[in-house]
Amino acid sequence: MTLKKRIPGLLFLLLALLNAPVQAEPSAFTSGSYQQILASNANQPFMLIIWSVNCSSCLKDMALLSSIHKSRPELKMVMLAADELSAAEQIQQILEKNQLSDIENWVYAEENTQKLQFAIDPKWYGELPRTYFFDKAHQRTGVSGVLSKEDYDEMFAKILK
Amino acid sequence: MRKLYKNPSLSLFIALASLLMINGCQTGAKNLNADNLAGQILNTTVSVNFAPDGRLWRLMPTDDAVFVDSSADNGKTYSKPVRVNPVAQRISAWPENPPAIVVGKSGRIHVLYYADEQQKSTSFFSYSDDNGQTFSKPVLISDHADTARHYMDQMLVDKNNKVYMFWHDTRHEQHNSHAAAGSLSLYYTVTDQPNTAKFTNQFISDAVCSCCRTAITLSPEEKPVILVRMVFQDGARDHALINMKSDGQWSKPQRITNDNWGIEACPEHGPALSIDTQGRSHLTWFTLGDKRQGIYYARTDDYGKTASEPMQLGDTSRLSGHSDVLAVDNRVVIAWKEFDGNETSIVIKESSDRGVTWSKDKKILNSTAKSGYPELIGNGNNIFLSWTSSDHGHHFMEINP
Repeated sequence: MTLKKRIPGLLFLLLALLNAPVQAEPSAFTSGSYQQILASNANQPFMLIIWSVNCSSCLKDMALLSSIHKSRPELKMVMLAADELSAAEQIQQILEKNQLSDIENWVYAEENTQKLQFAIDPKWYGELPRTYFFDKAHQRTGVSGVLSKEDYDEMFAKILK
Repeated sequence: MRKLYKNPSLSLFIALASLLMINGCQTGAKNLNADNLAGQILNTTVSVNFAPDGRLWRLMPTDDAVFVDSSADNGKTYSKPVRVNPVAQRISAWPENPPAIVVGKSGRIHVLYYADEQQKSTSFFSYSDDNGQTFSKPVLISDHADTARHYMDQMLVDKNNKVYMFWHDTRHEQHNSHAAAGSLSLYYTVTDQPNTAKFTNQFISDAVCSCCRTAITLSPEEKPVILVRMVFQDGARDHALINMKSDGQWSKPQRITNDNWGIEACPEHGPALSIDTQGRSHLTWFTLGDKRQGIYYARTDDYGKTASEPMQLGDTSRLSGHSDVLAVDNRVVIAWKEFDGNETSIVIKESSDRGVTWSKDKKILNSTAKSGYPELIGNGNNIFLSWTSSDHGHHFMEINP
């Protein structure tokens, strides 16, 4: 039992080492991935959108995200699916359908997702969608729920200042 | 059929992880007992209930089957698990959406679980009339199973062996483009002959928050009472009580929480409800509204027309949430989860005067691994806690006064 429990962990470590930089499908989000995202976006504003294949409000939000991505390619968008790795196929289908598969995408890849969630934001209860807007200095604002175009524009004005 | 991934390492990881999972299932199927089944429980989601004769029954979903076992010594030892679905199905269960097991006065064991087939997530019913040795062929409950999702089930059996099943149903979603995202309908069916597999699907309410479990229990008059998170006209995701009247009709939803949580999101955080023998409803719920944030308790003697001032539960800096409540005579126990970044704790609080005064919070269990939600059940006299974590498995313990 103990060994069986460890195999996925070891396997994961091995594969994490081999893992190429972001490709056109979700990368495995593990402890440390949040810091990695911050580091790779140093000195630039960006937004992090956390969603799930089971969240109907999130799916409603996708079309608008897609149009924002097209109209403002200069704005860095990072998406994170709060799903199990086994949902990777479904995640990829939804992203492709909404033409969002070419941006930086991640998926939760540890068993205890609450720890991953806590590492992102210790005050967040996990409601979805959850969007974080980071300015250049990485001062961030976290918002829960579906946002309107006006909401996005207002936040972009703040972080792109 | 299967999509190829451009990133070889992630695909390889998924493939190998799946292989290990399949291997685990096969081992379990060959030599099944409660210990090796515990390692395969889907999303740390176990459902329990006492039979009227005091025997504890347990329902355990795994990747492709659901299993039932039972205990005559309040969870110290369990019988050999029996598989309910003979043909493998893709079982669906998560802590907010557990399967259900209820044993009626007649001794019939009723099981309701979710599986994905052509449709995504619908419910299957099965029963056993031989004390859990064999189960009937699982049948669909929804008459729209091909096109609509059917989940967040609750099942009740009254003293006359009448079976109620309730669920969240997406069948009206495509017809109502003005409905808020994540709002759908609450349906039910009632029958005293579930063995005939005739389930008339009946509508209760629309504007129900899709991703939050609904709490349902029987009143002392043996009528169902529902506590449900709704999406009100003003956009707020607050709660309402709906009760079945003596003529079998449903009352209009009576709004009972006014936290003004205006959000278009999936909180995945449903309420809990227990009604004591004198008819007082004890409720707990979660909100991130303008007025309140966290989990709360209140009581009402008139199904929500009037209610006590909400009492906050737990430590919001530790994300207190996913509470359950149970009243037995004058005792009321509340259990919830807290998380400090590394460790999840189960915390309880207790009242001995029907919810007027309360003990201090007490931590009773913890885990650093993935875990389900605490569930409180009673056998008429005593109150027990059920909780599953992936490191310690399924816990079942009495909450002593």
